[in-house]
Amino acid sequence: MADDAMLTREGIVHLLDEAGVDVVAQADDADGLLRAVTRWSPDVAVVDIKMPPTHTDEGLVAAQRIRDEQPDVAVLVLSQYLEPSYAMRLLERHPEKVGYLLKERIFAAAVLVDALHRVCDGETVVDPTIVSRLFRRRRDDDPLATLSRREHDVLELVAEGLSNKAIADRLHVAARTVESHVTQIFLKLGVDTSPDSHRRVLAVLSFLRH
Amino acid sequence: MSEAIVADDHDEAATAPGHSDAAAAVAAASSPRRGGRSLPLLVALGFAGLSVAVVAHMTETPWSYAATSTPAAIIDLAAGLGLIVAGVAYGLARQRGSIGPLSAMIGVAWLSADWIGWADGPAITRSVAMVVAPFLLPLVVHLSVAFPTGRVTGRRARSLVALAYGVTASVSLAWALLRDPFLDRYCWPNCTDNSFLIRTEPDVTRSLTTLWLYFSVATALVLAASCAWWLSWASQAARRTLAPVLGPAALVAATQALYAGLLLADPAENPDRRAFAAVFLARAAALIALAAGITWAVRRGLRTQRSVARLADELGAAPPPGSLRAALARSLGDDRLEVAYWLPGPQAYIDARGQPVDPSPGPTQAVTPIERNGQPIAVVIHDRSLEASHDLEREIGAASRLAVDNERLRAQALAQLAGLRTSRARIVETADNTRRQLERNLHDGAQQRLLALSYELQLAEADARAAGDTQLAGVLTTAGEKASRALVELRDLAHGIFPVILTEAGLGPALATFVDTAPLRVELVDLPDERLPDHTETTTYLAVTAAVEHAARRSASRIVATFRLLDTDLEVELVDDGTGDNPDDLIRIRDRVGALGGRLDIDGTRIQMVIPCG
Repeated sequence: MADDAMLTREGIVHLLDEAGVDVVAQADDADGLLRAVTRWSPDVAVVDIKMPPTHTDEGLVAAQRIRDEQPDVAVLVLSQYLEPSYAMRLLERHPEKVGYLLKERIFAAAVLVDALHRVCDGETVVDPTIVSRLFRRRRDDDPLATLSRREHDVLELVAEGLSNKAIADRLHVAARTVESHVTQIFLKLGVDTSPDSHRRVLAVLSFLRH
Repeated sequence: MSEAIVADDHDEAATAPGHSDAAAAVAAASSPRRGGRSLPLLVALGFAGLSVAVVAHMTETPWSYAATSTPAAIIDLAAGLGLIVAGVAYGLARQRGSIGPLSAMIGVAWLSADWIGWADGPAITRSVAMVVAPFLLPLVVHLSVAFPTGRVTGRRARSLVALAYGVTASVSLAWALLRDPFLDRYCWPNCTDNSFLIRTEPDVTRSLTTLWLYFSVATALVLAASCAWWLSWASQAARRTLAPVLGPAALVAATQALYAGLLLADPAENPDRRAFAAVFLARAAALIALAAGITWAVRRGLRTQRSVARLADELGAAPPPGSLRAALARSLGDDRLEVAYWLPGPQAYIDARGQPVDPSPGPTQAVTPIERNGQPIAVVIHDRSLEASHDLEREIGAASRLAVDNERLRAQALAQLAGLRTSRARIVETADNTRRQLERNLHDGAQQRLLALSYELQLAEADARAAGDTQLAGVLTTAGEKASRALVELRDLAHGIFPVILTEAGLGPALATFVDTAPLRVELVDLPDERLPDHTETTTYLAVTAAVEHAARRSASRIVATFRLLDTDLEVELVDDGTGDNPDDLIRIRDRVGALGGRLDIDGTRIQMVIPCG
């Protein structure tokens, strides 16, 4: 767990403890984080975006490095900023095993634990608030209007990073149904990326942004 | 015939004291090149010529100093002719002023001594010459006081001149009427003729002569002292102008005093005696110096005129800024010349464009101040050598003083504008920094605490649930939700105060996030990828968001923002499909854009902005 604000860091650590997650190390800057990850090889590194010295995007940069150097370690980035650009930047190089969550979401420990599990399993996590915002954007000739209700829901969950199986569980349908829905959606919207690849989350987010 | 001409000239000379202005007017009426100047010119030269003839016609016993020897004659003529010629030249070169005629008349008065001594000449000629001769002193006084303008200003000066003329005229007149040369013991040089005699009063005549001599001494000494005083008080430049004439004038006065004093001591004037001869030589020499001084003044005057004419031509009616400097540099032949204008408020010097400038001269330069009504308004920094040969302050003259004033006022306005601009930009910068700080404080302070609170509430709720206290758990859940909503509000508030992504990632991501939640469809066209200066990005962001809100208030459903990045500016054009018009909405953004030196124009549904990137 890396966060330079003590209150938040301790609060989250406490939450994790209560949820039965083993917090092996804490850090309050990027260097400390990288050292700890190298030393402990945790399952997940939970990282705040803003850390010393510049308090801009140290967390993001550290996340990239961890994914580059230790691909087994998943990274969950926490932020107070509802900023799709950060999320998309995070997904650019390594879409799997990363997540971007708003800190205000995780006071419900279940959400945090669920996200941790998902990134560990190799999935992507994008905070639903970000996704819903992107969906609510006003567009000319809204292409999303061509989607059916069900397809809409599927697309939203795809943008949040859920795997086909997870989507199937959430919507109570078969995984195959989800697969075909996704393929169909991508065709309709003209999204280039393969509907099965890990890059599909970024593709959808980019599509939504433009 | 020659007598007639001479009589004409004498008449003119006789009427000189009271009508010097008329003579000056005559002289002034002619232009330096052509004109009705010819008559006085011819007369003066004619008189000069005739004087030479008179002197040449020497007799055995000398009746004038010139007749004693050839060298004496030469010196005598040099003084007289020199003054006449100098006066004529002065009159020809200058357009107005009485200096020229005065100088010529001094020459005439001096040479009339020779006419007095023309023993074979007609009585009337000698008598008129006797009336004229004493006016030498008041004429010198008048010339000294009036130089170089040609006018007598000031009560004291006017009284002195008037007194000199008055006394001389009275005495001369009295002599003419009452002096009988036969009965005058000290009658040299004229012992025979007085055409104007009406009554013989030898005692009165004698007393008058004594009185006149004392008066001469006093006046001459006053004049000499005044000249010295004027010269000592004058500025360097003024001294250069005055000295060539006032110096010799003081000498003339001194020698006249000497002469009068000598006559008082020894009334029997006799040119063969050494004392009288020496005084004569001194007087002649002083007058030659005066003639030389006036000639020098003529030369200077011509140079000045040429310079001023050049300058006035170049400056014209409304010269563009900086042209004064260029014109002065060209006129004076110094291209390193600089002009700096004095701002009394901030007590600083600025150039023609309003930029601050250092008025200190370089190692080979000098500084000449330009004043108006005694107040300094500008300085000219020029080559040192110019000082010696030009009287800069005068030469710049009335025509360019106006140009100096114009440029100074313009420079002042430009300086004030520049000051205003920087102060406005500073205000905007301060406002932006404050916003950033506020956002930071919110992020690091209230938001953190609220987050921590919400975590604790969550934990407490979990504990309560585990302990079976569902009521407490319910309360805590509600509390948690409230905390959550507060967090959301805080987050949006912080973002509204300052979107941090703007500083970190630039206009693109910041505007994209804004568009996510915009109340109408926003299309961003050709948004530049590169980062721009902070103030440009902040102002553009605020301007675009304000324009979008403005469009929303006008019920638009769609707005298109087109960007164009130029060398020094970012141009943004926003077109929406709203209705109505409310330009006051954007007044704050217009102020902000203006403070940076940009522009914002609204035309119904179209807004055009230019935001500087410098």
